[in-house]
Amino acid sequence: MSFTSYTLIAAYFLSALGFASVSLVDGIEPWFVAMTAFAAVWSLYFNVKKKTLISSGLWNVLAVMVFVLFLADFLLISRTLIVSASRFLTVLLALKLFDLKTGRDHFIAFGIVFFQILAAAASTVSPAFFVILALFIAASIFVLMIFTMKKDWEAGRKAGAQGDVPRGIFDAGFFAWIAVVTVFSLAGALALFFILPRMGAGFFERKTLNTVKVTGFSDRVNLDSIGPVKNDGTIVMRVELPPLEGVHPPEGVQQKRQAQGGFYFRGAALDFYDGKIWSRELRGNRILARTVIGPVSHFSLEGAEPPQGGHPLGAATGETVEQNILLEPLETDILFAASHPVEIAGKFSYLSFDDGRAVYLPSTPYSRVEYKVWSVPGPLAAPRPEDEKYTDTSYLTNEAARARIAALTAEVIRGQVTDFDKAIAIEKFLRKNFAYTLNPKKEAGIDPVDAFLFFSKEGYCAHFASSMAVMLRLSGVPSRIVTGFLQGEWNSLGGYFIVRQMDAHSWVEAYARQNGVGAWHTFDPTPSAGTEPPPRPPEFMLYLDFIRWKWNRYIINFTFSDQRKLAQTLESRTAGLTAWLKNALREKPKISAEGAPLVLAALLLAAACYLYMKKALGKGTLKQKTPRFYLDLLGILEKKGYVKKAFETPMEFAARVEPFQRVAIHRVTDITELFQKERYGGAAINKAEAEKVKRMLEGLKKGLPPAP
Amino acid sequence: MNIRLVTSAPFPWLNAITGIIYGKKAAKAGAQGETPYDGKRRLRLSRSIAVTREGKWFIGVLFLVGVAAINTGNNLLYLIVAAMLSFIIISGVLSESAMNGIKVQRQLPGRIFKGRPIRIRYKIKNNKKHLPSYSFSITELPLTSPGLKADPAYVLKLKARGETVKTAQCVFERRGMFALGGVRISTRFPFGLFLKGKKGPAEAAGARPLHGVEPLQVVVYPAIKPVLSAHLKAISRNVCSSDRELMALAKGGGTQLRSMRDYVSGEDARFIYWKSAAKRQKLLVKEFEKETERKVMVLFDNYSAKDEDPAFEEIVDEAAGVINHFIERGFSVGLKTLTGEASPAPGSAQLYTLLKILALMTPVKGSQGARLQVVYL
Repeated sequence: MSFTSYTLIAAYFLSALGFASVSLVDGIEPWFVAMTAFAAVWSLYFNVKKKTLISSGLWNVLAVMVFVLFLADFLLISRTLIVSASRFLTVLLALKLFDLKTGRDHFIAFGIVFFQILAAAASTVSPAFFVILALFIAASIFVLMIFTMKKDWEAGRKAGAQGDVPRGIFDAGFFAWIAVVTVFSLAGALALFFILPRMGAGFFERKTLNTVKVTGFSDRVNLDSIGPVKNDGTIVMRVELPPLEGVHPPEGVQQKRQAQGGFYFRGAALDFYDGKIWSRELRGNRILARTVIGPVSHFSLEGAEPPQGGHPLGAATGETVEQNILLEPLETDILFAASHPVEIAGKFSYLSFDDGRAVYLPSTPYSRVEYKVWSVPGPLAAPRPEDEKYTDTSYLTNEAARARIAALTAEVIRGQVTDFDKAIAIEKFLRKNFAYTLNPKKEAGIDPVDAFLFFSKEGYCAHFASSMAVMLRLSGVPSRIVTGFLQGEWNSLGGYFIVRQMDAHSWVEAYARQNGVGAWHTFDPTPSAGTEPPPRPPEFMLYLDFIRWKWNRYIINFTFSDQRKLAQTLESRTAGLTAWLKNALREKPKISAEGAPLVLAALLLAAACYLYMKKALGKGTLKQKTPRFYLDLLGILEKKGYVKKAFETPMEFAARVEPFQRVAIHRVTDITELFQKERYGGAAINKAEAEKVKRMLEGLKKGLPPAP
Repeated sequence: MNIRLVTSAPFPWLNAITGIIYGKKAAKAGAQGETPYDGKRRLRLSRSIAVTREGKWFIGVLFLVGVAAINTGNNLLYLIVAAMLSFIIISGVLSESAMNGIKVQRQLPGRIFKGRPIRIRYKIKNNKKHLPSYSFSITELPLTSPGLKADPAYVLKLKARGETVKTAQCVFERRGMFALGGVRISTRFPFGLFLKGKKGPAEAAGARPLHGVEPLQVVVYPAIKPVLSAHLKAISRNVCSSDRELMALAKGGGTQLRSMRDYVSGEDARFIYWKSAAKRQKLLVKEFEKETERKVMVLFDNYSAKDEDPAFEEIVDEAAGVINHFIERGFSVGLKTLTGEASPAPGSAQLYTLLKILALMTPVKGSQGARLQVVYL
């Protein structure tokens, strides 16, 4: 294949990467990418046929026009620099592909693709970016190499240097070599990525724009509209559970949690129901107290005083569960955590809470939020709320409906004495007698709870939870609806739960005394069909999600504190190693039978390293290259007082020593000649010559008189 | 272990910067009388690095992306910065690998004249066991004094353990003795961002051969300027003022035919011109010019007011032309200058002896100016 073909292939490969990277930019429509990519494919025809559609002069004019369009786009249409710039670059690239004649044109196309990748970096958080970057690095290595070689080749040939580089230069070995270089380059890039200090003190510091707006969750529950959410597989958050002590393998963590009833990731508690929508009655939120101040602050809910007019938050007791949560940017400022959070740590300027124990961010986040939570899953001990809002059923204006529901409730709780037992009875009743469906039959003009309990007898979580809350309130038990997410899918690769939009759920918290302690208890009246996870994406998606999780954790959200941790880990490991070595040197080594092969292997490795280094470093030194026998000769002569001077050549030295030999045998000259043959002639002496040298050296030892 | 070599491969910039800073410091220390030479020598870089135009663009973009990464705190921009830095490191390692293990044998033509282009022949061998070397050039190391203009010899690819022969044009722009130190291998490979080479004038003077090329001393003869007969007349002195008149001088036992005359009995039969004997029915004998009388001495008053005097060099070239002129015509030519003398002798060996004297001749200070004369002996 000719050089021109290689450059053309490289140009189109790079362009494909450019289009792919632009498709990652939030706000670039797929049709735009498809259209420009089609133009690029069309240009291939002209380049293969070596025809010109756009001359260089025309390209310059078009570039100016596209730039004007970019300004108009930025100022009037998109108003986002990244989006407008991405469009500008993409159109420019498509046009450039119609004008690929000189090396300069190829360089311009290469530069445009680089800037497209930059634009994608500023906009996306997708792991696909890394794939594009890796391919771009590989292609860049190849392109830059061949362009450099072509340029040097032309310069080397001087006159009339338009010829093609000879064939056979880019063989299989060359491409294998490029692959190796790419791997090293990527490894180097990653190493540098982790080392480069994260200053983060810029004027325009801002996290990557959010690309996922999740709309399923809200701090209101509308009984008529939540259904579609349950079919949405969009990921809402990932919750990593650090391994439990003594629980191996890590899957055991999930099994244990499952045995405990699974997690309920709590969002907001809703106390007011107007007959169709549950909502939170407005109360002034209070700021959570910071217990640790730093880049990562800790906020505690324990002992937090309730907002003005609210009732005490209650205290959770029991085993603490630690969670690392990566929350996608939702259209809410609520922070999710497993019931019931007691401490939260993250890079927040402040957090606030309400008397329903919901925790709020300072504002709706622009990007993913990473934080750590410690929760206590048990009931929330608190004094009985004096506020009547938790037993309010004033919305039931229809007396017939009220009477029907009250009668049903009385029927269900008959014989139950305590509030807790009443709640259990209602939960069981709903679970047993009602069906779960995402498309319940709707009865126009009837209260949704009334319709659910007496007409359709089917519904989704919001219907079950609302019905239970209303029934509890009618029986005098304080209750509230809680919205949030079920635990979702366990990813055993990374040891975390994938919580999706379809895991959105609502359940009931009822205040009841049990064992003499008044507390908010969690009840979930939705039958298991509702709480069981709906059909999940295929298995391999777990692998992809694992990659996404790690990508987010270690690339997108890699921070200065991570670098500090990394440095501390390194320091402690190194210190540990040094201490171990010191101890090993101080104490008498006691090598056990198990340790012996290890020590032997280490010694062998050290010896191999030493020999290799000696060989590598000894290259070129006189001692290494001078044959042993000549060094012996010099040694013998030196002992006799004949020292070779620095300015003397070996033969001059031999000629100086020769006259002192008693017999007319030119031993020194002969040995010197053999030395020169081996040292400079590259021919080692043979066995017979070696024997002769040995004899001559012996003869010199005995026969040569000392220097006068 | 050569630390400079190790640092220069992955961190050429670090090496270059430290070299510049500490090199200056060492030079300052030298000026103050503290280890004047050793400090500089120790800190001298083993590699020379120059940033190409593309490299400047690359560094500029790297700087801008770096600023953007710091300002935005965007980790993907940090990743791009890291990839670009990695490119620089890889570039350093690969360029080092391209230059390492290259051995060069150099061959120059036997006789070199000032201003006349010659081709240097390089036999280049890649001693690396597994890695080929791509895209590198071989040039003569710059000399301590100017006067050598050498093109590079370019090698596109040299296989592992492979060998190739390349030639490069070279012009010596002045006469005299040139000490060629060695060769310099330079490369823009792999990305064209930096021009890296093994340095330089210092090694040229050292005893250690660079890339296997031994230091070499070559004598560059002056240019042989064509001689105009009018000019030759003007500078000639003695009885005769032209070649023709000179040839009328005397007969002798030389090799050049002078004339023919009738045969006199008893003369050597070897000189009989037998062809004319058949034609003219009488014997003629050939007479030869007297060899010893075809002798000239070129007198060169090598005065000059300046060390570098183009007019003086012109006269040196003229002298070379005159000597060549007479040697070509079978004269015995001698040369006498203010600093030396060579007795007249014929033949090309004498030509190069005299040209070497002219090549190495230095002007004697004097305001009289240089003068060239030809004396027929």
